[in-house]
Amino acid sequence: MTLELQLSSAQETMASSDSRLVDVVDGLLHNGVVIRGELWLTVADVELVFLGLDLILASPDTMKRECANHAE
Amino acid sequence: MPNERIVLGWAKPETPVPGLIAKSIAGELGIVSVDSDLAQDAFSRLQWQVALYEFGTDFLPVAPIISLAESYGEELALQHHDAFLSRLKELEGAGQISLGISWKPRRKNDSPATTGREWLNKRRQDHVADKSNAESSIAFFNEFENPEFQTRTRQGPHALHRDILLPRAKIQRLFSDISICAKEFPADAVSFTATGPWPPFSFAQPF
Repeated sequence: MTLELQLSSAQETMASSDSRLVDVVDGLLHNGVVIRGELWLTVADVELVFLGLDLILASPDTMKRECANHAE
Repeated sequence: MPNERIVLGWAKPETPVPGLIAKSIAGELGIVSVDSDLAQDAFSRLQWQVALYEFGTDFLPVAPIISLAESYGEELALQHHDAFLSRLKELEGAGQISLGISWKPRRKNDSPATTGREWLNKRRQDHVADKSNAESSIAFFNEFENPEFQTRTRQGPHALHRDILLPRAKIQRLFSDISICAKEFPADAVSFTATGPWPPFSFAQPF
């Protein structure tokens, strides 16, 4: 028996209901530039909603150092 | 009354973008954004980003889970201009392939054991088979390691996931190599997925 292989383009992956490909998409949603700070949602120059976000803007290595320093 | 636009990512100002996505300039960086009505959830933002990438645009993608207002995206571009620009240059002409391999715990024989010794033997056989699948899977995964390409790897109890950053021109060759190697892979109960190319999500963080 050989490996069960699935090759899938980005479009095919996003359209798939295969649980393995759904997991791939879920993983991608959380990767990219991640922002820390305050975020105002505005409409017509009126600040309506304030979101205090605590998502860290750092590389994994930087995050690890910060956590280690904090633990000390 | 116009809606706030949602940022898909940052690109060089001269980068062409499809007609529906407006672009404003902050310093030497351009911002690629879309009307908020068209990108109300993470999945729709992901779809826009994939379309942008497939159009041929190189950009630093925001994590799709984040709904980032354009005005705030401009502030970030000004605040972290050099880091963003530097990262963008590193990602120029590149895309991401996502590989995943998972192996199922094997049960050679599901019939109930009649003695304690038999039960232990069954468990030992299953463990050996499972370990063999894991080692074979990891070895197969590592066939595609290349020191020229950046990678990000995550490992779970019965799965391994790796994202590979490589030039767009080499992506199709990697898919071909995977297909060829998979035909010779000896283990069963192993599942392998290769998806992409994607925008370089796992390599976008500029800090």
